[in-house]
Amino acid sequence: VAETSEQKIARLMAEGLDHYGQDQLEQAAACWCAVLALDPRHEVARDYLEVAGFGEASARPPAAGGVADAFLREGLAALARGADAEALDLLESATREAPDNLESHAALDLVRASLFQRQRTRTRGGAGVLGVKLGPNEILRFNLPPNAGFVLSMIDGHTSADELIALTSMDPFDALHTLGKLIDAGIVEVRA
Amino acid sequence: VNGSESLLSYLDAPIVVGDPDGRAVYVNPAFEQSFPRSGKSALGVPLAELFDGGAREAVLRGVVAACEERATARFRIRACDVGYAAVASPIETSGQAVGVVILFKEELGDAERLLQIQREMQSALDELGGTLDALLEQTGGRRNPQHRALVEDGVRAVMRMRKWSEEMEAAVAGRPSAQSTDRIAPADLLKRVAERASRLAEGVGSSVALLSPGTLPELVADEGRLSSLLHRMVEARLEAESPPEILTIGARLAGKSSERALILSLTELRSGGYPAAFQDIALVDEALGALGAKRHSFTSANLGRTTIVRIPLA
Repeated sequence: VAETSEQKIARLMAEGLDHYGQDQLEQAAACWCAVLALDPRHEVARDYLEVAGFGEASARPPAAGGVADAFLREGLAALARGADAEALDLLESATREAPDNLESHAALDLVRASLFQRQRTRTRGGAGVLGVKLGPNEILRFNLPPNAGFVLSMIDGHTSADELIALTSMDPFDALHTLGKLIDAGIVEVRA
Repeated sequence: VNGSESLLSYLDAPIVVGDPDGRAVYVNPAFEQSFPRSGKSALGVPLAELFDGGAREAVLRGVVAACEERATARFRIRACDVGYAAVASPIETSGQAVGVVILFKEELGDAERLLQIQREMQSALDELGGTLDALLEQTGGRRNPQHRALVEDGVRAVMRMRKWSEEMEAAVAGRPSAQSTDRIAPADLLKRVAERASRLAEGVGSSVALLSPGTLPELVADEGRLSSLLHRMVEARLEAESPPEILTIGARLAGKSSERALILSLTELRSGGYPAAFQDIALVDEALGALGAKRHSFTSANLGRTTIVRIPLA
């Protein structure tokens, strides 16, 4: 359910190309620098940076601040175009890279608050009862991360989203966000 | 000496009279109460031996000065945890030295005086707290959230004053600070802040969401101060000209090991966003500074705005 490192790299590479195609060289370079932060041996990202005139940036390992700045820039750009889910990933990466950067934290909390309300709407304001759509064998194929497995284990066909949040004792955002991904994956459904 | 006994016995100040050899011949009732050796057991005893430690040496010098040099001596002693200013004067009759009289005046040291002031302040604070509690009880049933919030602010201010008054007492008495061991459970504190904010939000057509895990690491801080600060920040946003549709109170951890911090946030979600960051009053930043915390604001044109407070956990 969670985006893997490979998926994130593929996404950042594509986003970089999009920016490059629109002559947004700084943003494109930020995406490819972020790729190098995830995989310093990524030759394609290095080539793209050189072609775009950022050869110097690709020649050295990206500094922690530079990578965090790149994630923050991309996160804010995603936020500005309304791509909240994408902004969430980028801003979480930015705060992991630079935990003292208050701008990243503030932007991240704004996105979390917004996405939380969106997920609540999907669960009928938290009142919707949750049910599991798939059988155990089908669920096994998803190779769910531990937190998703934990949330899934609480779903019994009688418990509402709000009750589930209270039961898990998790951060309500994390619980509902995980639940949203389970719904997206077709594993869980919201019943009346 | 006998003729003046009746007068001396009515004085509040401790007095001892000695013969020309420096032995006690009279002590007044105040002396008996103030010093361990008293009454007839003191009579005939060298004056200096009525005291212990450094006080003995000081009295001896005073007696020598009065009896042998016929000079008035002033000195200070400390006995039974009380400080005294003493005056030793020679008693002379027809030019002859016939004895010595020592008068002791209890001294209030700086620390004792501070403690006395602290007790007076504490007493006044208790009265003020009681008055505000009564006022809150009387206004609690009325549907005037602003009035109630003002009184509650006053109650919290009195709580803070009480705490600092107790802190002063501890500092003066040489006891360890109580403030430094004040451990807060932030998740519980935020629940209380959110509950109160929800009641206030109802009145302005807003709602409140709390995004905090069930438990968070303890904070070492002044709970009254932090609670009051958060209430103030929340109320300012809900009572603003354009209150948020949803006010989200958030708490999460950031950083690792010794650099770990608690990130508290107030997010105002509003369709169309806000043109600028929320302007908290200067007192908020001062109070945050006292907690070692930092504040930062972020505004989005389409979502709303957030104010975060970073409080170090170490």
